[in-house]
Amino acid sequence: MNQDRLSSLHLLPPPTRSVWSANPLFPAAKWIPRPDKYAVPVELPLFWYDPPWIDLQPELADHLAWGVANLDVVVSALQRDLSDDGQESTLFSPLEKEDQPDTYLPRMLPYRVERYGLTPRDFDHTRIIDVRLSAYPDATGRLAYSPQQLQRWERPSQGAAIAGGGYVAAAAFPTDVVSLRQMQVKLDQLRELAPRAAVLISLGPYRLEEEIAAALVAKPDGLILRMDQSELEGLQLAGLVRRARELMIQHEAGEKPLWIVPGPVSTRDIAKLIALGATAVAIDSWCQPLVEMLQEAAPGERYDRQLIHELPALVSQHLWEDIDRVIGILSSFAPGMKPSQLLGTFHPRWAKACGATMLAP
Amino acid sequence: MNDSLVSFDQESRDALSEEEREYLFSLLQLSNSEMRTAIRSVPLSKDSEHPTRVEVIGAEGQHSALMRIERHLKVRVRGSLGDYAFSMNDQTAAKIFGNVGHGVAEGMVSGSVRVRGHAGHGAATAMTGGTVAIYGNAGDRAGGAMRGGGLFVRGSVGNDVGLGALAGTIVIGGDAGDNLGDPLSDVTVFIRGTAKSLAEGVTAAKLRKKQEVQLGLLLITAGIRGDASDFRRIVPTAKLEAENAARGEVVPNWR
Repeated sequence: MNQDRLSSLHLLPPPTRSVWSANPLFPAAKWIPRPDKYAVPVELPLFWYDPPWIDLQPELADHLAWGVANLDVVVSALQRDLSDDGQESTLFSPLEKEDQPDTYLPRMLPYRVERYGLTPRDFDHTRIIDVRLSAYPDATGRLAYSPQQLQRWERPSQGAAIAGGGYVAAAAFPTDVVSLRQMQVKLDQLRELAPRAAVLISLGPYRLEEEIAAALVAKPDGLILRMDQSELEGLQLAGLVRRARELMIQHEAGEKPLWIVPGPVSTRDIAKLIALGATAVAIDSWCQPLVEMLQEAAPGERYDRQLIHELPALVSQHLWEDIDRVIGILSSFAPGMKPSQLLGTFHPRWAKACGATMLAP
Repeated sequence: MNDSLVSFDQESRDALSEEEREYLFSLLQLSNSEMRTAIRSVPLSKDSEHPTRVEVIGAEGQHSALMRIERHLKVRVRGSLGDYAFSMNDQTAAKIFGNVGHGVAEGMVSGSVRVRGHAGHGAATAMTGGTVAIYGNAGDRAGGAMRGGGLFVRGSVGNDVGLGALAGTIVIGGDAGDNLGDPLSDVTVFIRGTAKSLAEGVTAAKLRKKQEVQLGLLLITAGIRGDASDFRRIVPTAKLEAENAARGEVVPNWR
């Protein structure tokens, strides 16, 4: 799908044994335990972290989200990203399964500091709540929300502008949280509002030491590390994932999930990031061509309904081969294996940064 | 003492009679989710003017209590609640005879939450509708990221009130701390006392006649006595200039 960024790391096959032994195929599915002992199922270690829903009309966005989530990829969205007033989002609706009437596709709630666009219904049946503690620039480079985005989320009466019609600055910390320690109460509140969801905190990569330590004070169910900045090289990406996992172990959170948003990655990169300590990896770069395809196919407000019907097949055709490849590679990863057992490299710098086995040249 | 508080306190002293008190639950006996289930199972009154009454006792500072009830009920709480009380409230008319912690009525959609005592930081954060009335003081960032509805604080508020608010109304009966208002915000802020400082890009202005009437009605709705003409409004300078340029008419795209 994308070029390898971690090509200096090699996935090591099992060492040759004198006696032939049958290795099991390990499943890609994982569970995230909550403090109340409920375990949130995550079928695949893949998620779509920051879909540009604003670039698509709500109905198209909704069917695209459904198509991707139907492949067991966790998709991030607010209900208002995917539906107009009076419309029901398919992603937010139960699957039509007679034997399992209350089944929903895997969804992630982006809990932004400002909560613009958020409605109580967003908590229903979500698997993950992503508490975003880092303000992040939009496509224009602004640490702000565009008037179009706010219109989509807030839906003022016709003709009315929001906040005077201009950009609204993104915030850096929730106004109803007073400290990172009190943030624990906030996370418990979110767990109460979504009793079947894991609550993760997302962070940027630049102040790992202090921010991971601080975030873990609030006792989240896991962390999300957002590293999709274009300036990060493969070595830095791999080293940061390794370091983040080490820090989590140091702070007695080594068993908690670490989800990574890496920017463009290949199937093999995903497996390597998981070998380095990631639990799940974002595939935004894989899904972006689908957004562009829909923008091209439906540039105006009107579009051929056939597009909606064909979308699940198109999505599957575009993504499934790579998803299956990730599942395939991960099936040889036994639980608890160290990076040095899974990864090797011919470069000393990579070996040092990633804990990979140094291979003879 | 303000008349509105006298009536509030009278209610506080008068426990509901057996006939009035239709349902009684204790926070000491039920967990948050059990309490929510219990209240949601209460039959609704057929008379929408007189909703079913629920009394909650055993409030001792529990966090995340009575969130997202989503029923047209009257709920009275004896004691104080912790953080995020009545978060995501929808339809319910609640009265709390005590204090509340941080983030009271966060994300509230409709209905009302009236607090006899004080509120912590971030009261009514990101609320979209309904009325939150604090009869004591409120902390920092009250009305932060508000998206609609009304927040009334009879006493004073802390710093950064109205930060990131997109819409709605904030009424402050006392004084405010630093950085009151937000230049990118379209929330309407009325204050009776003084603010330590205003946020950069906002200014204080007299109420127009129409706003005096509007505020007067809002004060009645919140059960707070007061003369609207005692208040000033805190408004983004750009918005005020746009209003003046349009001879009093509000211009939606003032930025």
